[in-house]
Order: sequence, then C-alpha cells, then structure tokens
Amino acid sequence: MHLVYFSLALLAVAFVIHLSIWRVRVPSKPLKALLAIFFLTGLVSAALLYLVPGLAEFAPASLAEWVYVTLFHITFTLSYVVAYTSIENVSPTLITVMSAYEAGDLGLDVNYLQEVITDESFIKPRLEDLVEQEMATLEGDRYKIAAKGLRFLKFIFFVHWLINQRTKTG
Amino acid sequence: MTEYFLLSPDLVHAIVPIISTVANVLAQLVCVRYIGLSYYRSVVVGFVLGGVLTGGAECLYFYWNGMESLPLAFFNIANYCLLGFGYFSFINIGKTALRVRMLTEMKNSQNGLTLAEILAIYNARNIVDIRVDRLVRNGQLDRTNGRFYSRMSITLAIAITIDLFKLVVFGKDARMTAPDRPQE
Repeated sequence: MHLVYFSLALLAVAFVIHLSIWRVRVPSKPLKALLAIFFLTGLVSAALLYLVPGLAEFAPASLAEWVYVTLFHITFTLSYVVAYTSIENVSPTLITVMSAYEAGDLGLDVNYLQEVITDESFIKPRLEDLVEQEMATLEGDRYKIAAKGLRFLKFIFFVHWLINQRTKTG
Repeated sequence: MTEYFLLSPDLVHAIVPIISTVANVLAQLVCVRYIGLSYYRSVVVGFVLGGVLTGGAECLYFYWNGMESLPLAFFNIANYCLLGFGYFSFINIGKTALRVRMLTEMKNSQNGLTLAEILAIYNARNIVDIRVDRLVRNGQLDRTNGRFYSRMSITLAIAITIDLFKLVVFGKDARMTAPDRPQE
C-alpha cells in the first residue's frame, strides 16, 4: 500500500506547488509550467529517496513498481494538463448550462448570455491567441493563416478523418 | 506462474493499462469506421472493452497473488481510466473549437480576413443562439415562456466540476458565472 501513498503524496506535493504559484501569479506559459512542476517534483522526489538516509525504504522496490508509479505520475500529469486547458478556456456551452443552473427556478433570460458571451470576451481573445501562438499572422488589418496553423489544421483534419467525423458548426 | 510469461509477471501486469488502451483505441476505430456506430457509442464501446480487459487481468492477478495485488490494481485501473481520458481528449480535439474554424476560414480565403469579416461569420450572438438551440434540442435545457431552465445532464455535471476547479485553481473571481452577473 505504501506505493499508492507514495504516488498520491508526489501528486499532492506537485499540486500544492502549482496552487501556490498560481495564487501569486499565473505563469505566461501555464502548460509548460505545469509540466515542469509535476515532472520535476517526480524527479526530485525520486532522487531524494536515494540521497536522504532512511527514505530508501519508501522507494519502489523493483522495476515493475517503478513502472506503476511512473506511468501513474505521467498519465495523471498529462490528464491534468488536458483538464487545465478546459478550465482555462471555458466554452460558451458550459457557461450557458451553468448560468441556467444558477438561475434555478427563476429561469435564465437569453439576454443575460448575450451580455456575458460577447465578441470582446470570446471571439477577439481567441484571434489574439492564434496570433500569439504563431498560428496566424496579422498583416495590416487582415488575419492570415501561418505555416504552424496550417500544420495544426492538417493534424486536426487527420484526426477527424481517422474517427470519421466532421467539425461541427456553432 | 512465471512459466506463462517471457517477462516478469509483475512487469507484464504493470503494462496492462497500455495494452488495454491499445484495445480501446482499435475497438473505437473499428466501430466508428467499419461497423457504423455513432461517434459517442464507439467511444463507450472502446472504453468498456478495454475496461473488461483490465478488469479480467486484475481478477487473474488477484487469483495468483491475493490481497497484495489490490494496491497494484488501483494503479492499473487509474492508469487505464487516465489513458482513456487522454485518448478521448485527443480525438475530441478541435471538434467544436472556434479557433479551428477560424483557421479554416483564413485558409480558405485568398488574402486573409479582417476582424469584421471574421465577426460576420462567427460572432457571439450566433454562437449563443446555435448553442442554446442545440442544448434545448438535446434536452439539456428547458425553454418555457422565453426563459431557460437547467436539466440534469452530463454537460451540467462537467460544468459544475470545471466551475469547482476554477474556484480552487484561480479563486472565486474566476468562476464561470460569478463576475458582475446582472440581476434578473
């Protein structure tokens, strides 16, 4: 059972470090920062297990045990990073559903959504993100797709072809 | 039991989630591309099949090793679920994402698009209308006398979870509906 506690403790330490940093200031590249925090926590803890006398008894005892712990740490970290992207950029659908839920028995007026979900808060920031991530360029007053954006689109279309799906509208 | 394995049985057991995820992916692709199941059904079938494989492997391992295998079962079940979540996120990428559609419009235009041209195609008013209609059609919202009422759904469960996450990670000002919400 110590393996489970060890793995959960590693994640808890990484999560506390992440929250402590985020409450002071969200890093400019949050996904890279998250990956660094979670993976460095794992590596530093693994090193400490062998460097600090008395801690070795908590270390995984065999190659198989290291595989369990490492795989769990990697899959949890990557899943958390994926989940983080969805909390960072919440979709209008989720805001609509949540607003209706919070309105309760009063019901939700669609005008409220028009006030919250605006071009300023949803469309323009996404365009700015595309330029910032070098997927698009702004030349004069025209937005054009960049080479990185084209590669990204090809990848998306490949995934959609793979699963027999087309991009939805709206 | 070692004679059944070329590798150490513990090592084989440790990679069961990876093997199950490969089965999950293959089953999902076969179901959606060749059997004609809908996208979401194929995702469920793939995940369940991989889950059955993981569960079967855990039963076998428990039979051989008894109670000491339970903590290791925790790892394998957790790893399988996390890998499944990763695969679902991967195939869902850009399925409804606005930025993918904006990039597509830019790609299809000769000289790029101005902000006004982009807003003529994708604007917040259209997005709200389309999504509200879709939620009503799917039974996730009720429309009565021009007002919308919440219904219990997976989307609502996801929204509540994400709202809670935002509260923990970014603080209460980051909640989906908290900031300067107008009185109704």
